Amino acid sequence: MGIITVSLDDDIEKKLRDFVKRMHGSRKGGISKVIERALENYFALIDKPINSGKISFKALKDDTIVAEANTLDELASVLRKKGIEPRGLRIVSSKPIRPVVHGGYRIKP
Amino acid sequence: MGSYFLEGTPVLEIVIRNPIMNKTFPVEDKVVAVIDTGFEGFLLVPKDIFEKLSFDQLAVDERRLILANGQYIRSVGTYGEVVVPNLGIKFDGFIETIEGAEEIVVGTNLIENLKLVLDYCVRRMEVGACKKPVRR
Repeated sequence: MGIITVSLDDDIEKKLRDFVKRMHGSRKGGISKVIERALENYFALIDKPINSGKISFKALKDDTIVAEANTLDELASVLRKKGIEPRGLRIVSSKPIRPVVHGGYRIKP
Repeated sequence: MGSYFLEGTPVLEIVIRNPIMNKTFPVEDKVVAVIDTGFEGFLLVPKDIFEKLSFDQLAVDERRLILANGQYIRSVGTYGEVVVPNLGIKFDGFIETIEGAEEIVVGTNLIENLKLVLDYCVRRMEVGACKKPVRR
């Protein structure tokens, strides 16, 4: 866990502190949580493909792309045609998954 | 039917597929998934279903889910397909599992492709496609 010192405009700082107070009260670590979440959203936004409506999938074997297609069905078909064993393949999407998301109320371990 | 209220909870009947390993769950008929607009993922399944679909035989990615009590939990998953048979549409997305999960949960990452109307007054639910779907 890293510690970063940043300078903020007075208005932004006030907005941040008000928001943190509203969301987390006076609990310790509130500012870090809000900033971490804001940065995750920011990175997810800038990492979005330019044509975000079009998603494609790639199959990787040992970090080498062995097949690419617009849908998983097509990807499976390409792998079969090439005779590639699917076990152990890593499937990645052009729309990356977010590293942290809310699980909702139904999900209980 | 396809979508309805089950004991006060909105549910959707789906079929889950792993096209890469050529596996389908359930093999016949459909399975009921709970709709949770608080879940920001695509689909979460219990571990046994994840394994029946051979998702565990592909390389999985990890991430963290923030639970309702603020606790973080590790989730693993890979990409699969969800079919909504009553609408004749299917969607590709990240299908994940956590230790101890007991039900199938549909999240906003999947619902964002659907028009979803919940009428709690008469316990009626309406689901339709909002984008041009991939036809089966």
